[in-house]
Amino acid sequence: MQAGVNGMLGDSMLFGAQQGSTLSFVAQNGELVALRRKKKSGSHDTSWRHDETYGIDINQLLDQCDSHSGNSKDVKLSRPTGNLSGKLWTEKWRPSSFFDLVGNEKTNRRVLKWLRQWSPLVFGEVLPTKGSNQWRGANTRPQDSPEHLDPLQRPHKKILLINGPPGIGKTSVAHVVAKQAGYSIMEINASDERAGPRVKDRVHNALFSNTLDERPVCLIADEIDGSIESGFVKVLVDIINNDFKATQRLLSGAPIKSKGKRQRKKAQGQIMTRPIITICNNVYASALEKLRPHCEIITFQRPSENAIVERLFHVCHKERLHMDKKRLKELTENFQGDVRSCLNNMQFLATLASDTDSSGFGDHLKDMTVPWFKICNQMFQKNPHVDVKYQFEKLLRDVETNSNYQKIVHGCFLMFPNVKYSDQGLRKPSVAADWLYFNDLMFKSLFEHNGDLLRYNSAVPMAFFNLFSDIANKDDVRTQHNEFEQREILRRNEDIIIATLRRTSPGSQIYMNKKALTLEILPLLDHMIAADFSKVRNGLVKNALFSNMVSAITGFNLTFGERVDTDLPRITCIEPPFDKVILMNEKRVKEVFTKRPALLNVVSAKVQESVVRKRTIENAKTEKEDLETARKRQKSSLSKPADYFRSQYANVQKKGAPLYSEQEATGQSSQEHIKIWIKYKEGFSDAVRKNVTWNALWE
Amino acid sequence: MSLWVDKYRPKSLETLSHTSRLTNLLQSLAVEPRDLPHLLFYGPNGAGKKTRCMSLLQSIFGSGIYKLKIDVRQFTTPSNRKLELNVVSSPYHLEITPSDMGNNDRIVIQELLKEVAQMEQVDFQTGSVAESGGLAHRYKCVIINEADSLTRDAQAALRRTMEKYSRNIRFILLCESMSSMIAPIKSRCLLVRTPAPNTLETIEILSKVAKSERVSVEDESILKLISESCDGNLRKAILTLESMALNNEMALKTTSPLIRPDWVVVILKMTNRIVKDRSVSSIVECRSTLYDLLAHCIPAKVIIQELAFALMKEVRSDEHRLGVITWASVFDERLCLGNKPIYHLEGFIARVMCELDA
Repeated sequence: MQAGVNGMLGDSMLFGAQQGSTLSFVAQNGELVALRRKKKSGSHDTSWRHDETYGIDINQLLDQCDSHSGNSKDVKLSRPTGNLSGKLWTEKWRPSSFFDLVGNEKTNRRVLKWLRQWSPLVFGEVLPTKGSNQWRGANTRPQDSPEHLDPLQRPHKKILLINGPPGIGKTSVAHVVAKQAGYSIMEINASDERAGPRVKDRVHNALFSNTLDERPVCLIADEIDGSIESGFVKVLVDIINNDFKATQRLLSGAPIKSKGKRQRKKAQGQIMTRPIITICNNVYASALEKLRPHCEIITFQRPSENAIVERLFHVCHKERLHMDKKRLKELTENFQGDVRSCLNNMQFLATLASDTDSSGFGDHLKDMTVPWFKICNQMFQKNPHVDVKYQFEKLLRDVETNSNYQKIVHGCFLMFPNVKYSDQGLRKPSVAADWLYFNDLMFKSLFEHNGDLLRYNSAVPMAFFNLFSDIANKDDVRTQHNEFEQREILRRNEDIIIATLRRTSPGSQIYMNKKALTLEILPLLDHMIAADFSKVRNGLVKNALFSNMVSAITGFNLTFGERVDTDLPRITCIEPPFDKVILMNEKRVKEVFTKRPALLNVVSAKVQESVVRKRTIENAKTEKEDLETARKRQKSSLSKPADYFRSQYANVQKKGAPLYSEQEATGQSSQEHIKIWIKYKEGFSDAVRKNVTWNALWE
Repeated sequence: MSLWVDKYRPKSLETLSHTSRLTNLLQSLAVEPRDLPHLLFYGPNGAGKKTRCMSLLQSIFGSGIYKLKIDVRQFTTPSNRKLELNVVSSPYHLEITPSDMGNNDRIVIQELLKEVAQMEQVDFQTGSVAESGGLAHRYKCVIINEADSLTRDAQAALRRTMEKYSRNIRFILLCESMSSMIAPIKSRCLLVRTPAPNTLETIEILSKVAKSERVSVEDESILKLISESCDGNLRKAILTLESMALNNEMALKTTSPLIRPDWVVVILKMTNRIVKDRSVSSIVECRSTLYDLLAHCIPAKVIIQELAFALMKEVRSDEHRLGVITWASVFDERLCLGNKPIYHLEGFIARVMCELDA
């Protein structure tokens, strides 16, 4: 197989000539072990190994670290011009080596590890496996590591998907790690044309052809959640699928010797030999739906505050910006760990205030956003030490810079009944309702006038401040945002109603619509089905009840199912579960779990009974008709009595058993066609009931 | 095999109950089926619009009209979205409910109806129907349910179709209120008002149903109670009768409790709470109830209407009643204009509480 791989890639660097480079012997356990001969250094082109960015040559890196201090002098000197040259600090201080990376080292290492798994294929280098022979060949792959199951020793999932909030260095990590592992980087981001065919050419060029540059390419697809599903993502998914097929072919075609391989190479040149890293903010974006299963997903968390502060402090130091760590901490808090915004703001502060004293810094902090729930709480907390007017202004500014008005207003709406305020009767809530109406109208402009009026919504939270703020409110109130849940339930219920409507026969469907079904028919139908008949003594009445219930159930084509979502044992319920939609009265909701299953069991038995009865009657009827028509035909065609009897005899022989049984007994009439179900009570009580076929009784 | 509502539904013009004047009018229409105009039935929910419409078609086309099947039709919007619509049809008519399509109903109207309208009907039927010249089958009937939820665009698209293809197609529009129909449509149709049965008529129908189902009715007062609680909605009345009969061993006594849908019970409970306990804590409770109702697919407009009428019954003084109805109308308007029902429903409750305090 390995020979096949070599042939496939045609990469002389990989394993060299087939003879001589490997030695194979049979181990004690009978396994074939291939050994690779130790390479003489310098026999191959390994110039890339001396590239400063490749490998974890710790000495070199340490040297670099030392030289940083030397660099910083240059920076100090060039700082004023550097700023004027217009290079953003975020670019200037973008980490350039693995050690510069801020944040969760573990995730960074995972990215690196994944990328290193490509090394056997791309660089032909053998990964050291833990606690085993370093020279273990490809044929003796350890069984316990699934990522090595790939014939080319690639990682199990061929695409890496990095996701996380903006500004925490996803792109930086990808770039740094790829560089560190010795790849040259090809980046495709939202600024590029990403429509299907064009991007396909680019990607294929990058992945399947060798570059003049000695370093192999690593494709980094940035901001991938912004692309449309049919475009870029589809290209990636196609590549994966082609690769899977080609790999399968390779696996199955492995025994064939290398001569055929060369020819086939062109046909199946779709094997992926270069890593792809994709980056996105929202891993659940609908565009990524198809891509996700093929991806190794790594989620980036916000780096710890201290780590950011350290990094920022380092930058400040280099840029001769005097900021103590406390200030930096405030800054990071304000941006919730968005390193990029922190750096941007620092640059802004540095260019603005040549002498950066702390007061100037304090003023500029004002333009940063406060999270919406904090604002909501502040709306209700009156500060007795500060002038109301001043507080009002401050809050208004906070609201306007946050700009997430809808969330703030809804938060205020959820909170106001839980806070203390003085009021006559309920005057204030009703005034608040007017303001909420105003908010609703303004919000609607989003759909009608391009959102021109949205900005007036900043007045609504301030109305809440005027109405409900009080000195007594000191602690933050917690509210849960249940909008989303409500919407989910609503959607589920609508689906149930549509499903119920679809089940009915067209004859009755034309007389109802969704509204009538929800408001009138289903609630009352539920009462009918759940009627309590356990106390009815009169048999006639009971039968009438049952026949009505059965006709109601069959009319709506309802079936019986079992519900398992409770911790109680399985209970019988109606399918589709429309009781979920229309039951709201607590007492009746409880009934569903206590009384109803028993009743429904009986009703379901009755329904079955009626179905069976109907079927037997129909069958008997059709059979009778058949017989009658046959007789009529014979009567008319045969005139002589002798002929008639002869034909009857033949008929009996031909038809055989069914005819006999028909004459014998009506109950058994059509053994062959009908399954008769019998209620059979096993044991003394009704405790065990099961359905038994007629045949089982006779055995 | 179905509910009593469907079992006792009249299938022909002769068996139609209540409002006999209207029945006479329809019969006169059926005499000359060639001259059938476009029709617009309007009237409250459960008054029998659809039943009348189907009976009329039955008398024109014969009982083949009840051989129904459901097709799923696909449409493509200009923005390349695929839409599916269920179309119920018989050999002689088809019916659509454009409100299923939301804002895309114009496309349905344009494409589906043009397709139908451009096809000439071929009549192979002979026999009783052929006596009327067989020409009845020259046209196909299209029933549009919930025509009041048609968007303006769709109604405009309907206008010209109604005239241009009147040789091959007849429209029967059904709606609750005519206010949202545009005037050109109204002028092209024969307007047929379908009133709800009054209490006496409802009682009569109910007792007829009860008799043939062998439900013993102790006194007519219970039937009166049912019909009054249903406000002329015959469907609701018969459904209530059936569920009450099943729950009371097929014997209605004067003391049998009236069965109401759960959502009505919940709203009545909320009304009691509003009148008795006017405080912020009860607002909070109402809020959770309102969320619950909305999540259970009860439209906000229905909630506010039911709530307002329940409050009107509960409140004693005239001034307070005036206040309740005023605020109900104000907040109903807000519900229409805005799209955050929970704000307005709660606002209404807060306002009413304020009003009752004053």
